[in-house]
Parts: sequence; C-alpha cells; structure tokens
Amino acid sequence: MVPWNKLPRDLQKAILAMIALYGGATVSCSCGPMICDPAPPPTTAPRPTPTPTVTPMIFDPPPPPSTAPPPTATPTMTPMICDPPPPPSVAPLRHFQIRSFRMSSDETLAGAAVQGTVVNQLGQPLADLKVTARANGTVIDAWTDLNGAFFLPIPEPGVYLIMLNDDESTGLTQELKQHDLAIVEWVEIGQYSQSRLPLAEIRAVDIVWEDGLTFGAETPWPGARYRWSMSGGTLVGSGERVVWQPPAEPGRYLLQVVADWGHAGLAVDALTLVVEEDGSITTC
Amino acid sequence: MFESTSVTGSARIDVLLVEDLSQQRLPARTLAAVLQRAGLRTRLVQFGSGQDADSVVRLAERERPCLIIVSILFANRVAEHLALITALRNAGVRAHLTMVGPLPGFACAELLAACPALDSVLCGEAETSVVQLATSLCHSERSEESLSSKHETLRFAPAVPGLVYRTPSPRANPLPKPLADLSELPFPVHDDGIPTRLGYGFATVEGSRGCYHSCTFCLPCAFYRAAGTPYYRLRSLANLVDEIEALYNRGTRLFLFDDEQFLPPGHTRQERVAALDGELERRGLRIAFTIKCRADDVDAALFRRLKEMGLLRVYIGIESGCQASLDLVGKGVTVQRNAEALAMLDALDIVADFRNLLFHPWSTLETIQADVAFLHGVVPCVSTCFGFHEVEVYPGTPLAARLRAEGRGAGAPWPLPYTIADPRAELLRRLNRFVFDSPDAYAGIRDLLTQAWYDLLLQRRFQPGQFEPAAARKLKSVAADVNAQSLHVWQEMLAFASEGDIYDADQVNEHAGEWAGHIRSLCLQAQDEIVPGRYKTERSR
Repeated sequence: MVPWNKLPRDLQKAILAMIALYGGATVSCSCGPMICDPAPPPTTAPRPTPTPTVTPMIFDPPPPPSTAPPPTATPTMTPMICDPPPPPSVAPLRHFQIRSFRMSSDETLAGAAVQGTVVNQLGQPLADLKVTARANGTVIDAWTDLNGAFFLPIPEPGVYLIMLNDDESTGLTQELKQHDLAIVEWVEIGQYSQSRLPLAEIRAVDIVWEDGLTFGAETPWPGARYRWSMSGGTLVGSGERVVWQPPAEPGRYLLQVVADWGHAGLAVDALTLVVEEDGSITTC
Repeated sequence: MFESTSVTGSARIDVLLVEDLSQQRLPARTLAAVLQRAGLRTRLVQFGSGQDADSVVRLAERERPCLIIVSILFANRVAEHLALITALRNAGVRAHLTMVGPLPGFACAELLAACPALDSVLCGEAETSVVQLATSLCHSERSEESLSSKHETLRFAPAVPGLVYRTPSPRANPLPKPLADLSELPFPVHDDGIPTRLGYGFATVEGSRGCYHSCTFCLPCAFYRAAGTPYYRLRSLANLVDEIEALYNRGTRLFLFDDEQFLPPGHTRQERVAALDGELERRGLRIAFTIKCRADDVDAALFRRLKEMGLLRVYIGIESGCQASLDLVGKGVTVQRNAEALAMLDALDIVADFRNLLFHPWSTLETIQADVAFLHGVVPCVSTCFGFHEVEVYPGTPLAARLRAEGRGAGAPWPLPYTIADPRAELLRRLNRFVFDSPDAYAGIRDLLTQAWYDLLLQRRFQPGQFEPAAARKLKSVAADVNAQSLHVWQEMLAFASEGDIYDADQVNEHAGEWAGHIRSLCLQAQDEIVPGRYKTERSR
C-alpha cells in the first residue's frame, strides 16, 4: 500500500472530500453545504447619520443600484458564503450544463437531428467539443466548430441520450421522431473542480486592550488560531493574549490580529497605537 | 432618530414614511410631498444602518398612523427593514405596513412570504397610488376596519393600483399608470433641514427618470420598463430650476443630480445643457453640482461647459475594464472608450469616481486579470480610490433571468445569491471582501478622500482665492499611491489564485491576513496624508 504522504496531493484532497461527504469529517460550514445569502457587497462604507457636531458627509450620487450598497455600520458578522456541496467524486475538469432546449421540426430532414451551440460563461463560442447522441448500440458524434455550433444528423428515430464531452451529467434523454429537430445550448459552468474553498465565512474578532499593554482577542466563535502582528516594537506571547513592548521612537503603530478557523472562516481586527513623545501610549 | 418637523403638536399623523434619510435620496421625500399635497399628515422617519428599531416603534405607538411606508433604498438592508416591520407589529402597532421601491416591486411575493407582519407592497411608481392607499386606510380606520387585515381582504384594496396584498394569498393589482409629466410632482420634502458642508448646503435633485440604455444589471431600468413608463423622461427645465432656486434660497449650493442618466440622448443633450446654463444664469444661481454619466457621454466641449456651470465631480459608469464583462452586462461601450473618458475628465480637471465590477456570476480569473490590468493603466488619471465591487443581481433584471435560467440564484432575492462557477474567481471574491471590505480600512479611506475632494472642490468653486492647487495635487497623489499599492496587492492575489493551491486553507488564510495588514497600513498612511492630525486620542493608559 502507498503511504498517505506519498500520495499525490490531488488524490489526497479527493479522498478527504469523499471522507467529508460520507460523514468521516466535520463539515465546518455551519449552515451546511448550501449557497447562502452573500455578504453585503464590499467597499461602500456605511453612511453615518449626520449629527450637529459632525460635518455632514456628501454622498456621491448613487450608481445604478447594482451598486454595492453600504454594509452595516458595525460589521459584527458578515453573512456566510457557503461552498457548493463537495463532489461525490473527482469532478470532470470541464463542466457544462444545458442552458436551453427546445424542439422544432424540419421537413427536409431525412431522419431527425440535433443542433445547437456550446458557449462559455461569457457567451463566447467553444470549438472542438464532442457532442454525442447515443441509443441502443448507436453512437453518433459531431464536433463543435469555431462558432461553437454543431449539427448531429440522426438517421433513425428513437430515444437518444444527447450529451457533451462524453459526460452523461451534461445530457438529456429525448425521443426523436421523423423530422424532429432538437435544439440544445450548453454553457460551461466551470473549468475546475469545485472542492471546498477557504474563506467560507468572514467572521468578526475584536482586539481588546486589557491591563497595561496586554491585548486580547475576542470572538464568539470558538476554536480560532490567532496570528498577531505589530508594525513596531515587540509582541510577547501568542494565542488569545499578547503583550506589547513598544519601541522608544514616538509614532503610530498598527496592531493586527487574524483569527483563523481554517476552511470555516477568517476574521481580522486592527488597532492603531500611538507612542507619544513622553512615552505614554494612546490609541486612536 | 430624525423626525420631520412638518407635523407638530398633538395632532395625530396619518402616514409615517420610513427611510434611511441620511442617504439624501428622494423616494420617501417625494412620496411625503405627494401625501402632504393631498392633505395627509405625513412624517418622515430616519431608519439608518444598524439603527435600533425601538425609536421607530415608539414613534409609531405614539402617533398611531394609519399607514407606515417603508422605503427600500438598498437590497442589503431589506432584512433590517423586515425586522423593523415585525417589531412594529409585535409591539401592537395597528397601522397598515407596506413597502415601496424598485426591489420590493420585483420581490413582492417573496417579501410577503418572508414577513407575515408585512401587509402589502406598493409596486410601480408609487406617487400615483400612495394617496389612494393612504386616504382609503385613514377612512377605513375611522370606521374601525382592521388596518392590517392580514386574513381578510381590505375592502378598498382591489382599487389601489399596484398594490400587492394578502387575500390571504398574495393578490396583485395592475400597475398604476405612469406619471405623464414629472413636472407635476411636488418638490421633495426637505423639512428636516438642509445639511451643509463647509457652510454650503447640499441636496439631491432629479431632472429625469429612467435611462435609454439597457444594462442588464440595472434595477431602475428594469423598474421603469416594467412600470410601463417611457424609458426616459425629463422634467421640464423650468420646473427643475424652480426646485433648484427654492433650495438655493435655503442655502443649498451643491446639487447632487440623482438621475440615472443626466444627459438626454443625441443632440438634445447640448440643448438641455445650454438651456440649464441659461436659466441658472438668468436667475443668478451660481451653483455647484455633480452628475452621473457613462463613458460614451464624455465629450470635451460639453464637459468643459458643464464644468464652467459648476460641475465638480462625475460618477461615471465604467463598471469594468474587461470587454467580455462589459458585453455581458450590456454596457455597450468599449474598454478603450472607458479609458479615454477617464483621461478626458482628468484633462478637464473634473474629479471622476467609478466602481469596478470585478465580480459577477460568470467571472473568471481571466476577466478579473483584465479588470486589474485596466486599472493599472488608468492610475495616472484617476483622483479617487478604486472601488472593487461585485455585481448584485436584482430580481426583474435581465441578469437575474439569465442566472435563473442556469438554475442558479435560488434564495431570497435581495439580491439573488450566487457562487461564481470558477473557483479561482470565487476565492478572489472572498479575498476582496476580507481584504478590502472594511469600513475602518479601505472603504473608510475611500470615503475620507471623497469628503476631502468635496471640501476642496467646493472651495475652488466658491472661494477661489483660498483654493490651493497644491492641495488638489496632493489629494491626487494620495489616490494614486493608494491605488497603485492596492493593485500591487491585487497582483499578488491574482498570482496566488493562478498558481497557488486555492484549496489550502492554511496558505490562503495566511496570505489573506498579510494582505489585509498591508491594506490597513496603507490606509493609516493615507489618513495622515489626507487629514494630518485628524486623529485625536480617544483613550489612554
């Protein structure tokens, strides 16, 4: 038997995916393998309500509302982005699905026919893909041309499985009678395997200034690993709590903590600390 | 919480209009004006992001209106508004609870299903039907008919155009007739006062509705087309300038045109601009203003004139620097035209802001690479921080139809959820949210720079003697630096997505933390540059 660490990395991943799928591993996405509401769109800052003591902000004219609207003012939790379910086996490298299908008729056909196109996600034609119609021992192939188009003559009526790239998951079964013309359009929905991606959830963590120059990380999610960094001075300790030994040089320094839950999620917070001329420490 | 002051004393009000008024948008303000013109006692109520619902609930309990209208501006706040509606009902508020806005109009069935406390949705151009709804409700209340009437048909409901209500299953009335003439609308209510910046009042105005283009993601376009209105309607110029003058007399100097398409098509745009210029001149109104436009609107002679009229800033619909993505969203412009427009505005010294829609359901690593390459090319002629966005797919739009035709987008449609099929692109989308989507970092810098530009541009317009060109050069330099360094992070993220193991959480998370730290450090430097000494000590040990 080949030892685990000698297995190719892709195979390791496929095996792990199978284990996860069949109950051997924890699925860390708390809402399960479904697509949840996306997080609030990025980068448009929250708009605080003007108050008499604050100079009012002038908002830009709103872009057409496909625009990212503002996220909440206190982003304690970003809604989850969940992964698609892990595949039951290693997925084909290219995956297609039927975008449209309709039946027509053409009296000029000797038998029946299947015609259509194959495009990518941007609607661009895809050439040199095999389209197959299969029925009881009959296999008829055609290839897409530069326009992504194909035409597949079916001499004998019957019930055919029509598929792309020999991948039955892309296919449909259709009865074709004399003069029937089936029109199928496939779209590529992904070129790569859809295993679990990291950053399934953007979570929240807060830096809390405790006693002295001790700083802690607080988050409602258990089990995080913490990575602290500081733009000056020295950090002592690790885990949920660190102590900062500030530099002598006055200035502003950025303390950051990243809370890491592996595939399940990630969070970040930062605090700006100021070493004043007199050596005192403040934050801003 | 702000409450409009138009109704005072102990007189009960008829209608509460809830909206995030701090956004300075017009829907609720226009509805309030229509209701007030009809003699209905109406109050605007602020409901901002993250605001507690209690204050609104207490006001509703105190005022006991017949109708509470919740105006939805942004899709990502729908859930908050539904929670508010539930809280109102749970508190025993008897008012009829309805929602308005383009998005509710396209998602009325889902909204009614998601929120049992919601009584109805008012679809179409609500200005034409809201008075009928409010009047009928107030009349019914006098006769003690249940206002919410979730399980019995309101007697008058079938007669209110555009009303989708419970019978108990949802029933939709035909949409109201579109407004024949926008100039018939009363001016939006601003009785909460005119906000000021540097002492100059600013207000949003609208000279038109709709758009004569057909971007596939555009909710307003879908809304006006579904409402059966002409694609594009202009207010009469006299009526528009009347409103500007009324606001001017209250101290407003900066006018933010909220038109989807400020410039009418063809040769009429020159005439419209000339007429506006002439009318402002004739009335002695020296104003500043901002507009939204497209890249193919930017014409040197026209925009030079607009600048002379007071144009400070343009929100330009660049959307993407990838031709395939531009084609996908039906933008009808080329990447080249986008770049030329930005360069032309820069040459005219007009500040341009835009967003880049890096992510959409069909994004690939290659489309994102093309976008980032485009941004690299335009760094020298952009004075604002780049915005890295994702397309939100709204119900009713062609993009939503396409997504659903592919069997995607299932779920609550505010907006339609999707996962990008290309996992490299999907990972980049998640990284973008993690690294750039933080109000106290990158998004905060964007806003800070925006406000700094407004201060400077207002000064240039109204106090030219105090304007220092060096200050403008500095802001532009800060923007260029932030943009260049942001793109450096993007290059690293793209390289990782292209060559790294995107499924390795350890690697991804470690890099993500480093990139986020880099951007936060960058923002800290930029804050110092934009507003030296702005930050004061808040606490010390």
